[in-house]
This record gives sequence, structure tokens and C-alpha cells, in this order.
Amino acid sequence: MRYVRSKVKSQRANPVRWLFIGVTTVVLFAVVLLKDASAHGVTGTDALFLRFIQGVAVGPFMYLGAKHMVTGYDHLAFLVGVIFFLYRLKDVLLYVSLFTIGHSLTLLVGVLGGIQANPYIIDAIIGFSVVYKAFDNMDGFKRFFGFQPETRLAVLIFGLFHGFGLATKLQEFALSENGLAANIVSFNVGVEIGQFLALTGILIALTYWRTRPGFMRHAFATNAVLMGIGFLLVGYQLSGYFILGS
Amino acid sequence: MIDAEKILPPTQAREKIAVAAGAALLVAGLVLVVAILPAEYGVDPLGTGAKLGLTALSEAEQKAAALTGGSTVSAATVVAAQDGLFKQETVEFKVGPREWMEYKYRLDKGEALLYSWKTTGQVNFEFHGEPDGAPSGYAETYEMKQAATQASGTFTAPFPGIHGWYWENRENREMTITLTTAGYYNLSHEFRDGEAPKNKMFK
Repeated sequence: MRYVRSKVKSQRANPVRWLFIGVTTVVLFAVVLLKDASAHGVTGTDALFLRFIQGVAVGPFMYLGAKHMVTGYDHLAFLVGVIFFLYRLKDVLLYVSLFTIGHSLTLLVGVLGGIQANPYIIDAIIGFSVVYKAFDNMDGFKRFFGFQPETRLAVLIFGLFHGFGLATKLQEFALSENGLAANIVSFNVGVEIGQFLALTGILIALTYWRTRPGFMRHAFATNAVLMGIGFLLVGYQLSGYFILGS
Repeated sequence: MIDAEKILPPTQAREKIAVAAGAALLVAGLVLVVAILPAEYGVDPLGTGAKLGLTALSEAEQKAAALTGGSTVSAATVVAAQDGLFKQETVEFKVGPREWMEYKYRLDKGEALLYSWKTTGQVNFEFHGEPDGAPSGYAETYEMKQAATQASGTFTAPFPGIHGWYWENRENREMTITLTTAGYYNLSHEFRDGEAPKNKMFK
């Protein structure tokens, strides 16, 4: 595989670009805030359902898994970072599968094994995964540390943490033991369905964008924005940890 | 034509990456302190949350928590003396097919109620309380179940308000709900779809 650095020199940094970065980050997160504040938890009637469910409920758990993934901005942000420079479908499938294996493992083991982890810390690590991937996309590791960490391994390992994040959300509810295994597997399948749907949308947008000359010019700035989002997630979750505790 | 499977933008200078990362960190920190912390946690170090009206968001949540009063019954309320008369009642409600109704008592914080109800058919029910001062329709759920025919127990109100049951007839025929209670209540309300609330005073 040959990697070719584009011969197009990128424009020099200018204040307009930083303004663009700042405004985009703010707007993106204003949009997130306008949604139900705990969009990353399970809320409202879904919470009520989970509290009282008895026995196997494949359909509802599958739906909840898909819904959780599609509204899981931190998971989606990481995925955007992962596939940002993956042009071949083969590569996309490989990396997404690694992510899937990671998060499925910890989701299943976490809930069924009753592994308790502080949800704020886990979500902060998930936010950090976004920062990491954005930094990687900006070639930061090569520039600052002189080496490229094994990308596939990183995606797998961060996938483990994403899965813990999914597990802690479910563990907040004393889910009935009755049918738990089948329900969690259904939830996991739902997560994959949701991931597939979200990725399809993201890939379509990315593929279109890649045909435009602006993609190469703005790739760097976009990853800086992604890093900002990652920092926001980390800050939000760590604040929650210190202010609200576990 | 570029013969490669992967095309990447030119790698930037170290300084540029550092500046970009720093800017990202700065903007994230600003957004957090200006908007997110005040709105989500009520923490407002720069006072911007108050100016933007965001602290109202976290205040609403805190108010709701305060109204429902932390729900721990302290040792002092093991005995809760009552001045009023001891009341008992047994009431029957007829509920049409697929219809719902509510029956609730006005109770003070710490006030106890003994209850036992049964139905002639299957109901979905929710035992809940609406705190005084909360926005209309806001309620704390104590117990919620599908396909039940009875429930009995004792209840101690965690906050002042109206506390009671929502019953929904799951079946296609009329059913009767029989409720027996004992307590120190003075007022109860009956709510039905499309009807004015019925209030009952106990002397």
C-alpha cells in the first residue's frame, strides 16, 4: 500500500479558520444540549420500561440498543474519526468490526458479569478516545512522538471502553435477572444495527465530501473541531464526576 | 494521476498541530464554563449562566429534587402524631372498557396511609404522588405495574401533595375497583377522562 502526501500545500493558518473551528464546535454542542440533556443515558419512558420489564423482550431491547447508538454522540464522534481517512470499504469494515468486537465484549461481560465502573470516568475515557483519534488524524503522533501507534489495536482497545460505557448505562437499572442474557444480546444486536445505520449516513456524507476539493483543505481543521468535541465530552463527564460523584 | 490507495493531506508542522489542539482545548473549556456547567450542574464561575438564563435549567432539576424531599424518613418520624380524627373508607369505582381513572388523597409529608384495593378485571396501575408546588402533571412514581388485580400495603408520604392511584382497565368489559383505606386524610380527589374532578371532604 502506498501512501502519498497530497502535493497541495494547505493554506497558512489564519484567524478565520480558528473562528470557524470555534463557531462550529459551539454550534454542534448547542444542538446537542437542546436535546434531552441525558441523551446519552436511558431516559423517560424507556427508563420506566427497563425498570419494570420481566422476562425476555427481544424487540424492545433491540430497539433500545439501536436508539442508544444512533443518539450516542460520543460513540459516533469516535467512529467519524476512525473512518475519516478510510477510503476502501474493506478498511471501513475491518476497523468497524474491531470496534464492534471491543464494545460487544465489554457490554456483554460488563452487564452479565456485573462489573461496576464509574460511568463518568468511563464516559470521560470515551471522550478522550475522540481526542486521541482526532490527534491521530492530524498526524500528531508522528510529529510529536516520532511513531504511529498501531491504529487497529487502538480502535479495539477504545472499543472496549465504549462497551463499558454502554454497560454502565444499562446497569443503572436493576434489570431483572429473568431473561437478562437474551435481553442484553438483543440490545447488543440493536447497537450494531444502530451503528450500521449511523455509519451508512456518515459514509455517504464523507464520500460526497471527499469528492470536493475542500476536503483536503479542511481535513485538518475538521479534525481540530473533532478534538474540541472530544475535549468537551471529557470536560462534561469529569465535571459530572466531581460535582455529582458516582 | 496519483497511484495510491490512500491519499492524506500534507502533514502539518508540529507547531500548527499544537496550536490547533490548544485552540480546541480552549474553545471546549470556554463552552463548558460559559454554558454547559451552568445548564447541567448549576456551576457558574463566570456568571454567564445566569446572564444567559441557563442556570434556570439546573435549578428546575434541583427544585424537583427538593420538592420530593430526599425521601428518607428520619428517626423522628417513627411516630407521627395526628390531631385529626381517624378515617376509614371503602369505595367502589366502576370503570368502563379501556377507560382510566385516578383517585388520590391529600397527604402531608410523613403522613401514613393504609390501603388495599382489588379489581374484578386486569388493570395497569401507577401509584404516584404530585408534590405541592410542582408544575402541573409532574409526579413521582412509587409503584407501576401492568396486568394487576390487587395491591395492599402501607404508605408514608415523602412530601406534601396528592398521592394515589391511576388505574387503567385493560379489558373490553366494565370492571369494578374496590379500595379500602385508613388514615388521617381530610380530602380526596377522583379524576376521570373528560369529567370534572370530584372532591370529597372527610369530617
